[in-house]
Amino acid sequence: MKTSIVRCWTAGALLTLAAAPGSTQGLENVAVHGFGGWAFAETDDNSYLIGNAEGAYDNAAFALNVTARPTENLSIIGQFELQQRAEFPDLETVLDYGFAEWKFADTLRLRAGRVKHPFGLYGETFNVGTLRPFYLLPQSIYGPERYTARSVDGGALTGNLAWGEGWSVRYDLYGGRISGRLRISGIGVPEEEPLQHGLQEIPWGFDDVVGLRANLSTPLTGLSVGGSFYRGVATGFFSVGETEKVVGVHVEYDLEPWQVRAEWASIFDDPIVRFDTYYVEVAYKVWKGLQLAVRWDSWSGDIKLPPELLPPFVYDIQDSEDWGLAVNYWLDPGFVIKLNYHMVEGNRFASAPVPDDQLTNGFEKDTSMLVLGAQFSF
Amino acid sequence: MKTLLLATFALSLFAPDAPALPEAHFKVVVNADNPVNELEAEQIGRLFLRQDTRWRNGTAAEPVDQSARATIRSDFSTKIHRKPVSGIQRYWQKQIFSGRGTPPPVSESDDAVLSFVRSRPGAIGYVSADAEVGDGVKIVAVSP
Repeated sequence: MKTSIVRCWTAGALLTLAAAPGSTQGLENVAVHGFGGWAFAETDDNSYLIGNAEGAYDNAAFALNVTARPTENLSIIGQFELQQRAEFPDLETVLDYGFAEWKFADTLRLRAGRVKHPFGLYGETFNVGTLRPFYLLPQSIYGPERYTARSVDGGALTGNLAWGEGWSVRYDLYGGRISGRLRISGIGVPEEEPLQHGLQEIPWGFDDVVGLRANLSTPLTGLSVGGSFYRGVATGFFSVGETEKVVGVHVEYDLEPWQVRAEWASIFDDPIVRFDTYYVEVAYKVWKGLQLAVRWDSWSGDIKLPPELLPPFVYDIQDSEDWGLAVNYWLDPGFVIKLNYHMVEGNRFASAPVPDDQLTNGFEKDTSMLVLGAQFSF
Repeated sequence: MKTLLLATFALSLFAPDAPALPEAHFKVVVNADNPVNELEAEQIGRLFLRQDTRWRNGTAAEPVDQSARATIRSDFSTKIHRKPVSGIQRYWQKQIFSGRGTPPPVSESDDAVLSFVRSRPGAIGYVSADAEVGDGVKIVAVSP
């Protein structure tokens, strides 16, 4: 475990040095940035996301972002990430995105390659911990579910339109293919996918995707609202070949000392399951860098198949309600120490400490988790 | 959906009014060849956030910021962006890691800002209210 974390951070440090000869952000047309974090997480019984009952130290991540502007209108942008997770011990290296962007005007930019998936508030900044009050994103929408992927392989149009008086809109119109890894607790459908701590990771995706996101900034400083939509043909293990639609709406108020966010999203036209997901998070800086936060995060599923076709435990994992509390200290906007406590009811994202128990006897429906970690960006 | 609309409305009730600009302790400067003589605070904000990247005459806009620790940066941020510096830093984190852009370069002093602005036709910066701007740089009037 210790070796893995050292390996992750060492690799990250070497990559930073390799990518930035001379200085980290010094070259006129090349900018290098990064983010990362580490956390210890312990639960009372079940395994839950980054934590388990023994206490998991093996949660670390480091990402490097490079932006080059060879000419005024052309940008080349790439980001890759090293990630170590307690429940899946192999070090992952992921190309988050890599694309070229041509600016026709501020209102119209064309992107081609692997671009970030523009969905909701956090879809493009998945693991950037300095942009949120909790170590973990709200799992309902940004967890291991079939909504948001790291990227879109294809193309996108994006731009900003402003009307004055504080009104402006940023839009993203994209098409291509999205894919990700769906984490499922204990269903055990595809035998070739190994079960680790009661969890399976199963590939999912959508082909022929067409999507749109719009974010409207209002004259009330810090307040914005928006919506996301995409449709595509499902690939992977579930509902293969079906055309499905995903829709989400969001609102954000971000003006210190307050940060308030709420989102709702749902998937339509899936023949097997319909799920509704939403969260509300409120954070307030009480004194200097000291921030308190609370979050309610809810996922509820509705299986459309007849009960006799599925084992009973499947119905035990169709809900998750996570109340999170946070006490954070921001030493700087780029460095934060977080102490988070989660009270979880329902097992959509939890798994039994002993996988066999999950498949035969079910497992505890309540999980508590304490997270102590630090996240940074530069 | 209804919850989100209600939340939006509720939040709007608590939004603070825009601060008055006349008390600013900085002046906004551009290259002397720039035909612009007056700008609205919102226009300046969009230039510094790189939401507008060109002047009306087609010249590329090149904003230059001051250090995040400088008092003048805090005053500029509050008056122009109506947000504290930390809020703008968070904006740039979002921009950078979603692949949308990088922040303006930072100069550590008024002299460094003036030198930058003097040498680039599309540059825009801000310096202390009592700074002598010298040749090649002009002060633009800022309206709320």
